[in-house]
Amino acid sequence: MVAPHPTAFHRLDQNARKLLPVLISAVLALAAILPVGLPQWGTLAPPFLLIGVFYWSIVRPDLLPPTAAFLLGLFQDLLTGMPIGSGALIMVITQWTMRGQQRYLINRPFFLMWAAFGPVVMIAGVLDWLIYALLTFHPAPVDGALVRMGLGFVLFPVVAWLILIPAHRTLPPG
Amino acid sequence: MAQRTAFSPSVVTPSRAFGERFSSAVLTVIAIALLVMGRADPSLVDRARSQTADFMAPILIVVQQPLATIRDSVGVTRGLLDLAAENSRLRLENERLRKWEATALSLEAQSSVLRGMINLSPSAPPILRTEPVIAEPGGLYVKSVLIGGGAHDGLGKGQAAMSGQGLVGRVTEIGAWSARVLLITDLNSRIPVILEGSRTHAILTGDNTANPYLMYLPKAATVSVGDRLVTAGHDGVFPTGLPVARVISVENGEIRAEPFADLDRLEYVELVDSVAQSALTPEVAPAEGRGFFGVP
Repeated sequence: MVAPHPTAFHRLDQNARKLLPVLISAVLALAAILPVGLPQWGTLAPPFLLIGVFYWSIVRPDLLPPTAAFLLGLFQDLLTGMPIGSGALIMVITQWTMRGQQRYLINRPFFLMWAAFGPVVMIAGVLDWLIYALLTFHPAPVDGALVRMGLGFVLFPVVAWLILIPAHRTLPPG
Repeated sequence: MAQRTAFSPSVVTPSRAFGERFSSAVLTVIAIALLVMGRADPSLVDRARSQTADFMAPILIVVQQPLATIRDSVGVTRGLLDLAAENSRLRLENERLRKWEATALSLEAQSSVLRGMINLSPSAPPILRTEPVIAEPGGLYVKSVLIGGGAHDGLGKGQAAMSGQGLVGRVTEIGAWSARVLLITDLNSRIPVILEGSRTHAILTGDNTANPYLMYLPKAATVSVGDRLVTAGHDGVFPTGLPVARVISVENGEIRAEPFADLDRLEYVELVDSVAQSALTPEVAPAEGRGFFGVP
């Protein structure tokens, strides 16, 4: 018996699924700027895109290559009004660093990945602050940055369990 | 917490690993170059931003609908819970506002008569458009909102954006279907204002905190907590007399003000055309014939 050939629809479906990491990351970038009606949300919205890029760079770096990380960061910069290139720089560096850490973090208890996100979100926050301070010659207050990064860290498992891990399960093997 | 992420690591060949490292390095350099370029030529960046906002506007507007419904239903539930208290508060406020209305109307009439005496042409009523806030981007370092109206709706760069209570900011980037409003708390915001009581001029300067501060205030000026700041209008962009903020602290020569508008919860903004001269909106005008601007 001949093994059934994958149908055109099946191939299309598999390829479409491969776009999920990038699409989900783009949606996460959008989620951070939606006016949800919470006080201070515009200021303190957690770095959702960073969560996405961090996660996919560890579990499926093949589906979120450096170019995709760069474009997602750029997309965020264009939407948010942050200096063009700052988000792109942070996302490329995150993708670069994390795809090398795959063997330490994959197939390990989830909290290890969560713990690894701590320093990443902190360094991203410092970079963000530094770039802004260098470009505007104006040291911004740090308290807001701390709250934002803290929120990002606390919400990491929520975003991972609700969105990233379920989406990951639907991906075709790499 | 013992949940495992049971996925197989993807296999990376050495040549591919090299390629990825190379492209990461190149992209890092490009990102830094963009940072420098954006600083050198902001107009290019502005165009790219308004095009992105235009492109995303339809999506943001569609997502806005369910969000608004959720916000509204939360508001309704909360409102139902303290209906009685709210009612009595509104009754008192209404009484107070009626007195203010009478005062405002008589002053407006008086002002029109005085204008007529010195042959000053009657000012045009403010041209208002109301646009929904479709995104609150910016994070920590940029205070701005995206609104769902652009050049196609007759909006233009430099127009003042108001919420019900006061000035929100001004339109700094304009796309075809969307526009960015730079809030008065942003680091780059400079609004010429007048202290309403003493008619002293100053510049209200944002510094990314919730309360902007006053700059270029004459040394002899006396400022006290509670003073109202309104737009001076001599920048040729804003109409005069739009309410902006109230002075909340005068310490060590630093004067900070609290914006009248609730910048944390903006749902809609009203765009005021720069030819407008009055801050009074037509809603306050009496119904029977006697208009604000019609008095000879």
